[in-house]
Amino acid sequence: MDEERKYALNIGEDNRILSATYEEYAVEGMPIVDALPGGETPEENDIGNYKYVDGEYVYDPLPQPEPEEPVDRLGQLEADVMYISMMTDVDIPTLEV
Amino acid sequence: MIEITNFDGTRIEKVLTEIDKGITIKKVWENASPGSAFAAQTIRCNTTDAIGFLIVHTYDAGRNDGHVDLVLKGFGSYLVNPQAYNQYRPASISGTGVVFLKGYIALTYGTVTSSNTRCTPTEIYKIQVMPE
Repeated sequence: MDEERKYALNIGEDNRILSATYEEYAVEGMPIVDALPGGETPEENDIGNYKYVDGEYVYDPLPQPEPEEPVDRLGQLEADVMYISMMTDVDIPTLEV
Repeated sequence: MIEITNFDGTRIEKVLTEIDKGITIKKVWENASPGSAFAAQTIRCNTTDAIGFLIVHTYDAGRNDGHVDLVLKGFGSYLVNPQAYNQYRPASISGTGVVFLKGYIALTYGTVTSSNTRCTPTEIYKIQVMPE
């Protein structure tokens, strides 16, 4: 973060920080702050995990996305090969496993 | 000032006619936290005198691999970054600013998942017709 520049916050309806820009790009109504929130972990350094309430940062992390189901690698590879063969009009022989 | 009101095939001709008069490009926004996720939002700025905006964006939040896409006023558009997987984020111009929806990752065979770190805007430049 640039210590000499101030920041302007884009705040959502629930006071959650949506993004930050520099003061020179601020438009009317944007809070101007000296520093952005941060911490030690990637989650704590993501400004989207904070709300800006009464001039203070409140750490309120967004729920983490559900872990993805294990990928069927063979099925994925087969789909990719079929897609490429369709796009290139090349006949790919079917393999019996 | 350009005004695009008709929705037939002549729209792009009107834009190109305006561009032919000469344009200026001015930076109107910079992401001060490019490593953060970028939720759906409007970046507010004056759009009344704009033809469109150039959007610099990255494959994933915090990455330094800028791609540039043009979003013309009156046209729905996408930020796109095709790499190992295709990333995209719908974008358009409203009366109050540049509207970004959430980002997506699309696999080649059709699986799509949303991710607000994908196609993260880092800079926005406004394109205007040069004053006569």
